[in-house]
Amino acid sequence: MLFNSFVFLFVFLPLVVVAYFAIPAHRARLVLLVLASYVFYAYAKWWFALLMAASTLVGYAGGRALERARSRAVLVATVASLLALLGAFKYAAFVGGNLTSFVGVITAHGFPGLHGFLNGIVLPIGISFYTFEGISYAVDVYRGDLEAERDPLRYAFFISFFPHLIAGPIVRYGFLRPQLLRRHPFDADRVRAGLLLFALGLAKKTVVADGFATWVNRYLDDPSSLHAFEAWAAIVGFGFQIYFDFSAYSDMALGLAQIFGIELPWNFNRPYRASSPIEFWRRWHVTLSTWLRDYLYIPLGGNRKGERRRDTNLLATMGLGGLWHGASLNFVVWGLYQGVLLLTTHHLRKRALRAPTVVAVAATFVVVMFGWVFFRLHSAAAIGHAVAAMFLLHGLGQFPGHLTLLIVAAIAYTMVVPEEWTWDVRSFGFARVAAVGAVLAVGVASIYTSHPFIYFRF
Amino acid sequence: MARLVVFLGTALVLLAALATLNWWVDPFGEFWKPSAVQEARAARPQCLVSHELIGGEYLPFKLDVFRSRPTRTFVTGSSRVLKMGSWPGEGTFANLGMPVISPEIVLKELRALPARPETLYLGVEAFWLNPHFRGFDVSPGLERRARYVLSRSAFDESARIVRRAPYVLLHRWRKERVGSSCVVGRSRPALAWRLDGSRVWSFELDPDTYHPAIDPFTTDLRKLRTGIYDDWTELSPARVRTLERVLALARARGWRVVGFTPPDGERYLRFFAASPVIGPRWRAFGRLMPKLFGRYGYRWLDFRDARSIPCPQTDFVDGGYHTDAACSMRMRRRLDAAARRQLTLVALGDSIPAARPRECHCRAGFVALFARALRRPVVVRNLAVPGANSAEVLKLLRKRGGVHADMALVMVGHNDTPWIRPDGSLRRNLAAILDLIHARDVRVANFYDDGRGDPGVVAEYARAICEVARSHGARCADVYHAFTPKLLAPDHVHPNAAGQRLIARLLYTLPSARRK
Repeated sequence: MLFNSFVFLFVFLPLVVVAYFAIPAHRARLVLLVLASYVFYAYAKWWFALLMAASTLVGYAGGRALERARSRAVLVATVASLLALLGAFKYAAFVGGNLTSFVGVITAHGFPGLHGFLNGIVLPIGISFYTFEGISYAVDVYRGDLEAERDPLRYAFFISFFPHLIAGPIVRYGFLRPQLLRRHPFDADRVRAGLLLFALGLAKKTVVADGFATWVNRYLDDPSSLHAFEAWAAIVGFGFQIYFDFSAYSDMALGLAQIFGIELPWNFNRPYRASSPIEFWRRWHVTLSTWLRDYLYIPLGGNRKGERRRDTNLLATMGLGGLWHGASLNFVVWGLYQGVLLLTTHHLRKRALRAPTVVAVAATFVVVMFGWVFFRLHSAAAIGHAVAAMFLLHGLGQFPGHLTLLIVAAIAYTMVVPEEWTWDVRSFGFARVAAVGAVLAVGVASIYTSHPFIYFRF
Repeated sequence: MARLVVFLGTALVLLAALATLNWWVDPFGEFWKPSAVQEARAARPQCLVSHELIGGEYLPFKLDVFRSRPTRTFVTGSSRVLKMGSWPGEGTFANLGMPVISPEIVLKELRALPARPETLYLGVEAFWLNPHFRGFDVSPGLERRARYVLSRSAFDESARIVRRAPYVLLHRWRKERVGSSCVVGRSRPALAWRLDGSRVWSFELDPDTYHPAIDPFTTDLRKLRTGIYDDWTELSPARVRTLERVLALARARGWRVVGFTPPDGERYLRFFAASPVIGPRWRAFGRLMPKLFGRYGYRWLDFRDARSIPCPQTDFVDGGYHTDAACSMRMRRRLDAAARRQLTLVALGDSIPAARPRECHCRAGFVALFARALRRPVVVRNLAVPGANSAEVLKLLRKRGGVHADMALVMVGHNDTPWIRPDGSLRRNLAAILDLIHARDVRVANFYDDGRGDPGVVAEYARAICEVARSHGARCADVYHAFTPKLLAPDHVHPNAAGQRLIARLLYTLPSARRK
């Protein structure tokens, strides 16, 4: 089920909210939210729920086993089991497809049956997110940072809670657990605040992000026809599209959770204000970047084993982070590009090369935006066309006025106005509350032409 | 709490206002407006209905067209059959075609029609058999309707319409003149519908208005005709099955069917024949269709090459996809002629006309032999029920509300004899049966003596059957006197193969009978 769908907005959400506050017992409320989350997830395909149940079972049992014996073997088994589910559904087609193509080229024999089977594998939405949550839980228990959860209901809630289920934020159990221990009575101010944040997120998605998408897709659907102006505008436009799209989802998730009295970690904080790629990753998809830091980069050795090893670790972490986004080589290239940006920043800092903030922000903006080419375009040919156009090889072309206006407005807005989740919506008076009500109406009215969330694919 | 109410209240009031405006103006025609069609129908002379009011509600509109007329002949198919209309003064023709139709929609449409006797011209498109082709959603659900009335794009269009025609806020449509025609619509009919379901472009009413754009020819299958041929790797078995269900339904209802495929422009034909993707499928389609229709006793006319109709290339209004009215009516003339050649034959009676192979030890019973002897396309409906007496045949007919066909064969009475099931009402029942048969040519056969009962009674029954038949304007084949014991099957009840041939010959050699 999608947040920007009518069945969610007008059936699922009202029913769940009313039922939640109608039930007095805390545990019964948890049961309700877990059941509702499974319905939410199974709405697309019923067997998705079975998969999530299997992942939950593995994570819960692994945690209990790790509590009894803090064994590396148990940890490896738990993490491998969780990754096996992810690998089977997300990466089997990628690995198998590339292998069969390779063998096909070498032997001049194709494997159409196997190819067809692999291409037929459906990616269960959200599997990357809840797999990472399960892994972080197992590792935290193994490290002794967290007690294993004995209550399967609370663990099931942690994995399945529908606001963060499909596209994050990636929640850690240590953050959520204390909130599950107490009952959250109805608080009109809190519910209103949650709804306001949700409404702002919905409008940000259906009006702003999808507004960008219409123009960006017009250009990037045929990269071979691009010229310099159009290529840059389209790629920068995509940078804003994906930011508004994903941060909108995060705002909606935070708002929804807030309605039920649950606080989720924030994910975005105006990333295009960053004055370096390092800062960018402290503002962009923060729950993923901190996850990669804590569960991949640091275990690999981080920066403790010398400069060369740090650079290798950075590239490995970011490459794998890229691969997490999708089973496609372009995501790996994008991740490696980000890794190169990070290690370049480290080297520049070591040489004490620092630019004025405005220049640093502008430079970061340009290099980050350029990186979206590898994220948005999937084939080498398309990427080649776009990059060639950006470097003036296809001429300047026509100036894309509409898209440029949108970009200028987006830059002005994001540079001046703080991230929506930081707004003190609780203190909004009647006028501002009514204005957000109107924004909600506009957001709902724009659902008809809305595109799916970009991060649902991951 | 008050601010929560203000927040939700503001959103709900705005959404309610939006939904009301979009529902009232209905800019993309997502709601069926029967009163607009009624208004057009009530006008003298009748008006056309603008496409603005029909929009995507093709199915209810077309079913309304069918039901509102004494329809005897109708065509269905894609947008390429929509120019096929009534002949001047003809009130019994309906065009039930619709854009982006698929075999599934055709089946749904035909199932919704009453089972009265009809002649159907079924326009089959080759691209229907591309598994990737998807038809139009003719039954939008509640969620789609909610999304529509609450959509900003519908609002933008509603606002545009209201700016152009402010009266829409009070009256959802009005009668307008386009050229010399009356159109029920609201200011800008690019397309309009006649009340027989055929389509009119506005340039045909007023040359200064909308003319369909030239279909951009491309060899890129993703773009050619919006991608309907793209990724076409096989003739979809599921779609072929659906077409078979369509034909089986038509046969079960006793309809006369002529299948055809609308023509394509010359350069499309050349491309389809040469394309490595489409070519094999295109040729397989051409081979499959006559067989498929023939299996059900129906004719197939291959109009893919416009010269076969004949239509010149200038008859395509958009460069090779849609034909104009002149060419479409030439197609109709060919279809009418083919339909006239096609007969429908219904058979009623007991196990003798049912002719089960294990009883008669024959491959074809007299009904099939009779149909074959006609040497014309015949759709046979054999409604004979083994073991049935005249009362049961009558009951069956009453349940069906009678039968309609070009010809009817009746052989009943053997199971009415006193030594099988004494009834004594054969005369009355047979008379009632003949009253319920609506056919130009009705032929009745009496039955033979199989030697099991009283020969006098059999003779009396045989005589009575022919008397009743003649008194009802039907011809009677005297099987009783022509039949010999050698013609009995090993069970000594049913006729053997030679017996079946004899009955067929006796029925066939009768002069054609009454007209009803």
